[in-house]
Amino acid sequence: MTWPAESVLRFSAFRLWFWLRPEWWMAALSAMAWLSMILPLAGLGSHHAHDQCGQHDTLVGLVHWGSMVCAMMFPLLIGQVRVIAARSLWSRRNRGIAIYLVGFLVPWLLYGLLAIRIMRYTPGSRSAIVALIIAAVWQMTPWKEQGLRWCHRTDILAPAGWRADADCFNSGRRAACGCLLSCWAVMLPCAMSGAIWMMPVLSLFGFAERSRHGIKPLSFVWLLVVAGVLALHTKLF
Amino acid sequence: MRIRRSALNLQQTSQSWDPILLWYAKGVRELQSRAISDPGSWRYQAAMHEYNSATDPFRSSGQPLPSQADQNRFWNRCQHGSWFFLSWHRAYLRFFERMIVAAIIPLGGPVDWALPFWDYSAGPNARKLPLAFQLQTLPDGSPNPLLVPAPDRTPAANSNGLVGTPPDADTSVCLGKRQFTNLGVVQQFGGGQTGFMHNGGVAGACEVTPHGSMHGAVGGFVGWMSAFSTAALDPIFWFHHANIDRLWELWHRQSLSHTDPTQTLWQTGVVFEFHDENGAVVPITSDQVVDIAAPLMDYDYEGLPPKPAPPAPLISATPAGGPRGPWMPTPQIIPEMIGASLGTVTLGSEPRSVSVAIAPPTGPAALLSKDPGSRSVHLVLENVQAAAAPIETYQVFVNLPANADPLQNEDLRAGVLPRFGIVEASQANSEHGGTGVNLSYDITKIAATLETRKAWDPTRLQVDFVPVRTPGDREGELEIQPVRVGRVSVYYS
Repeated sequence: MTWPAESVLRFSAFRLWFWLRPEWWMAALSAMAWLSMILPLAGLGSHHAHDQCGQHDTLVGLVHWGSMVCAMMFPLLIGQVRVIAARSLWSRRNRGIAIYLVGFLVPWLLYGLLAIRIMRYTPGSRSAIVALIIAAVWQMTPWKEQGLRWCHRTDILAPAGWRADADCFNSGRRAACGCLLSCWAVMLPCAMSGAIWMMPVLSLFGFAERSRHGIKPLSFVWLLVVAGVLALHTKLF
Repeated sequence: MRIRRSALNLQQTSQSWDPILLWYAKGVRELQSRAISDPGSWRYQAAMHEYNSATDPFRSSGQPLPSQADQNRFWNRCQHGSWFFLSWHRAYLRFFERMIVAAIIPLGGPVDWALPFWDYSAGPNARKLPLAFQLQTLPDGSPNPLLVPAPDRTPAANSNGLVGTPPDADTSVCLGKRQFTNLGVVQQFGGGQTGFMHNGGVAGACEVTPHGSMHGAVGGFVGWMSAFSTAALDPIFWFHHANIDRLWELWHRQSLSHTDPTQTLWQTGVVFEFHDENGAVVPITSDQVVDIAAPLMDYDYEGLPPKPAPPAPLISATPAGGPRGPWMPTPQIIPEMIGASLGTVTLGSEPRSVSVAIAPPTGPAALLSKDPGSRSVHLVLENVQAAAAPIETYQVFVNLPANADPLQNEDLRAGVLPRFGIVEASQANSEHGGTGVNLSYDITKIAATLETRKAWDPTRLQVDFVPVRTPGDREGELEIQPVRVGRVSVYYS
């Protein structure tokens, strides 16, 4: 047998780029979700709408919440999605990723229903600051660290058929459960505060935490700093 | 420059020790006499690899551990299942060597003492532990600190027996790799791109065999060498890793195309920290350990070929057929999964066969060439887990005929499934939540052999797991601890 280098050279760089990055369309979805949160598109993603999330009906609130999860969480799934793609038959790569993402969104949307209810009764920046303090406390618990570990799990997949679909869904669901255990608290202030700058800041926080060396939560102090900035920003003190 | 010599070339009898080995024994004894809170102590050095109070054989000594902050910073740093495996262990070895030198100089030892290596693949008897590790006493009659009695070593190790099997010590697979970094499941010499810490991806070829397999061969079922947290307590650990380090340097010298990662993440992106012989903390990065002749490393290995000369300038800038040559990097390859087993495969004390349905590739592998002979074929064991140390290691075969003797079908052997590291990677509090280790074997040659014999079925592959138990390894005493292979899959690239 010979090394297939000659043949590989025939692939276009364009094609190769997409093959090596099966997560590209998930990243595109995330980018669209970011835009929908930042730009006042169709009245769904405006700053104002976001601010009033708790006062909208549940469905609209859930759309906002889902957009926020897509925007903030999907970039953290790149490694896991690459595993799903690599462990799937070529013809099933995108299907597997899509089902995995659906599985990931289901627990987050269920949590979103609860979060929307909480926000109805406790909207605004004061509640967001309290939520940030709760998130800071959560950073110090062993459950936070365990959630982070579960975020790095890889699952086995059946090669084809409904079992493969079920395994992709369950893999996404399990990943979301780990993510929820790790990040349930830090997502609440994003939705509560209405301060759009908090989303990229807390996204960076999550990204840094996921990609740092070893499984260790970032210091709770960072979240207290964010809470302080939010307090200053909203002139609470 | 100090020269690390082969332990097999150091002549020794029970009464006459080679000075290099004798000074090693005295240095080890000195380090063992220090308290664990001292970074220059034997136990502290071992804990830098990994520490687990539950498995610490010296926990009853009552010595206080260093502060939690110190432990968090310096302990449990070993890199496995990672592209930092080689560079971290090289630095780890060098600072350990400096500590031994510092310990023996006051005793009259040589300032240019160098850590020997155990080249277990050098010949049919090379898998016997050097005699210095088996003797009860030093020539002066004092206890030998290099001896680790059974069951903390496999019994054969201390009775001048061969440890493991020839495939455990095989270096041909790892030295045959053309690149350092894995691409997905396609295993290369050094391992897959990861962050600092271990597991999650496919381990590099050198890390699996001979590194992992020889760890298990010496440690046996419950021996120190078989677990991360106790491995470096056995003095043979350092000779074993000097050999792994030598293989990395040998791989470099085989070809100019054998280069280390150029990514910043590997070169300088992660800073390792070690204590020097004076207790000072020394930060070090992978790019600082690549050149063993550099002042920070300053050693060489006995018997290695010289570094290859750089190529002469080309007369023609671009040869016919494109810019190619042995020094050109190999283009990226895309592995494509073409089939996998359904459900978990449980391995016990009996041989086990698994049938994997495979389908023609439809992605890059289909486009590579219509000639199936131009493809590489890879067998991957995903999420290999064990709740407790497995008694057996396994040899992995492809399409082994029914009732055939594995020893008569070595050309169908894909490799070994070493026990080292599986338990650690299966624990819920491990970095990847206990999803186990992933192993990859290049079975391209086996596929070619089967094609030649007209025994290659393009729709189905049989994978055979043959257990190998070291004789005398507490046989019959303990329950079989199964190994679970999450999935057996086949890839083309």
